[in-house]
Amino acid sequence: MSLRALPTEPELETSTDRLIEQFYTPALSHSVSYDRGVGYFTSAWLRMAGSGLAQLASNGGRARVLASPKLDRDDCAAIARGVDARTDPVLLRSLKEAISELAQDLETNTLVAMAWMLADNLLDFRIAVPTGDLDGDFHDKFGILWDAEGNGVSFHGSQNDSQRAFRNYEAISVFYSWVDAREYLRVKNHQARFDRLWDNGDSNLRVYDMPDAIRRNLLQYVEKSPRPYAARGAATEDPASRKWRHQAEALRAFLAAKHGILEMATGTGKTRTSIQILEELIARDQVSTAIVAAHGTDLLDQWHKELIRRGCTFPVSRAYNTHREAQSYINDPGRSILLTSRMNLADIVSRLPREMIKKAMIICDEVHGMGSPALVAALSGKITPFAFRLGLSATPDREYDEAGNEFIECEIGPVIFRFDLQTAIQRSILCPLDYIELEYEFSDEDKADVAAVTRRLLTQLITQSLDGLREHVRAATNEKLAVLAPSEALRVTRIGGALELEASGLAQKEGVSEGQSLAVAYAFLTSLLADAPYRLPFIVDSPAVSLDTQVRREVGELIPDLFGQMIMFVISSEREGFADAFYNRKGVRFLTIWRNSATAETREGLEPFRNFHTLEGAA
Amino acid sequence: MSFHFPVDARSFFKALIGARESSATRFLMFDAYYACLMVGLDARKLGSESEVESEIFVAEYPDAYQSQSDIIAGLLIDAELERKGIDTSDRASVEDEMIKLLNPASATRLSAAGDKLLDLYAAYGVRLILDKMLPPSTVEDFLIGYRAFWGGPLGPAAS
Repeated sequence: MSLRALPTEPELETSTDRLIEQFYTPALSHSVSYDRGVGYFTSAWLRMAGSGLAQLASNGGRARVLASPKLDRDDCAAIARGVDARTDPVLLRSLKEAISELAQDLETNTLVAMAWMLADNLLDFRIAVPTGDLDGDFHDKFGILWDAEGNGVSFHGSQNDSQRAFRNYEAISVFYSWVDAREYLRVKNHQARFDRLWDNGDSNLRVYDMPDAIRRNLLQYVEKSPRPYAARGAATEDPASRKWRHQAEALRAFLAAKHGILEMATGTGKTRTSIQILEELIARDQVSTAIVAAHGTDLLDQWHKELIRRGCTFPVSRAYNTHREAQSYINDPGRSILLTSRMNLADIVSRLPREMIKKAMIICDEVHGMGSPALVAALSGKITPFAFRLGLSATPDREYDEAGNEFIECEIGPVIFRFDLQTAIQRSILCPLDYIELEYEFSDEDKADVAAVTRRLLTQLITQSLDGLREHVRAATNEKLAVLAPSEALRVTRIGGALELEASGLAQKEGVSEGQSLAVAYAFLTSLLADAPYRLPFIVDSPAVSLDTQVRREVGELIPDLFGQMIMFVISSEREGFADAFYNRKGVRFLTIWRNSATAETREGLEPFRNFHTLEGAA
Repeated sequence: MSFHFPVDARSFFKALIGARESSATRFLMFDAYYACLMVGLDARKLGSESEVESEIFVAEYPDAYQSQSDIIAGLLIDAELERKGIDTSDRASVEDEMIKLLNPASATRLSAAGDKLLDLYAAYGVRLILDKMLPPSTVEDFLIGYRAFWGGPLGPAAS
């Protein structure tokens, strides 16, 4: 198998089909290395570059292809000015269009061979974007082939080759390293030129790795047909990528489903897989913002570290532990990622614009934890509007919690991919392990510690609850006081062992009157008991005895509105100006009791109550 | 004359007020109060007394706000007239309201009742702010989100 078997024609000028048949295919079938500069990244150019690749791969050979995206000059200039062309939307769109063309125009065997060689790392693409002084596009068309014995062949197109190629006509000059020293030098020079371009050594060209999204678009064609060449074990298989291939499978499963759970054993790369999925969706412009929700600072810190390490395209905000960047994210969620604790999730999601959620991805790590009753109550219906919903867990099922499981399946989706512990051990991703239960019993000291902590927490809880209750009652008391004594401007400022009062206007004097004390007491007691679980009558004994007549009347008119039910004991002197305020009220029952020598007399009704003295006298 | 801080505003503005010593932008408690007040006045709704702290947090307007006292008084009267459904052409009712709310001798130009109403409007304002925003970590984060209450979209400027 040697390139020396080829006829040494200095120039070939024929139709493309004939050229492939007469030159490319036989040359590649003898080669182990193929470097190719083509013009545009289009089906027309790649057809020539790609034909015969399967033969090269059968030899365990490798190919490198340098191509230019089909862009106008302004776009090229803009890309060249950008920080990272691989994420430039114009470049990505151009390359995606080219991939679509490839699928339509390229022969299936060529397309599949290219895809398989990419998957097997036998083919590498780089993208050349003209910059600096280069006028026009990179459409230099040349190539270099080497066989296993060190024989080389190089070729390049004629002056007007680019035009002819699209008329299905080819003209190339060919050089053979074994013919003479001059030919050898031409081959070596072509190789040096390619290497310089490939390694970004030409000031007029910027060369970039193939964007991941485009590479993956091409890789999908491996599913169309089996590998069209014999796999050559270690030479063609990348052991690392084979070992971790479940991550690519998980990615494909999620892209197809758009929502669901990846059930993957701990340590098999759930976080990395999720980030790959996110990057893929960002590259495809299907996601413009993302939220990652998890429980625990350590886990969220791990996410942050991994996103930063991978040079994630979007800036990352954090809303957990001491990080308070949720509002910053809400202010401008586009093209950014938020890491948040689960407990903050409902607050954040409910403040995100609806339009943004329609193009958002949510990743729920340790998704089984999302089924707790508190989260179910807070998040029901709030996750489903997300365009992409990804759950991660090694154990997604919540034991004995149908409601929690139902919530997770409804909001996020079913399990769409499984990679279990056993398979992970078989693939040497995880090591075999023994599971040994260690029994543990609390010592007396442990129990005492737990009891002390519990007591401390309870004390705090009681203190906080009482403070909250005091504040609630204080505010309600003041609201009632504003009605009971509007001219006094009395306010309760603090409820401690006693009620501490503040006053302005008429009440700014030493102490308070009996009437004011009574008003404060009524307002306070009714506020205190307003939220009590039982509704019991309020019993008041001689409420008006110390009040002057005017105040009595006011209090008498106000009291019934304060209490739902009340029993009031009054003595005969309290009737005037106080009890008589109840005479015309509905729902009031009057009972008159007086002592008659050795026995107690009672009468029901308003009349005996009003005419008590007559009754007493008669008796 | 006294101002009472809305109870929920304290935790919402905690990072801004707490950071004022080290931050380049000094954010006053009264700035937070004012932000809540404007939203409440704009909504024409009062919070309840239980939503207002019992302690006075500042006795009068800080220097930077003193020149705005007439405007604030005017905004309060405007909000109250609309809240109570008083027709502005009803001169007598408007005057009654002004007499009730204003006190020219006071530093705020407001009566005690007027001061209290400001507190209640601020208390309602913080309710609306909490509905739309989360506690900001910087003044800038707060101001970007806050502009949405004044006709702008949530998020960055449309320009």
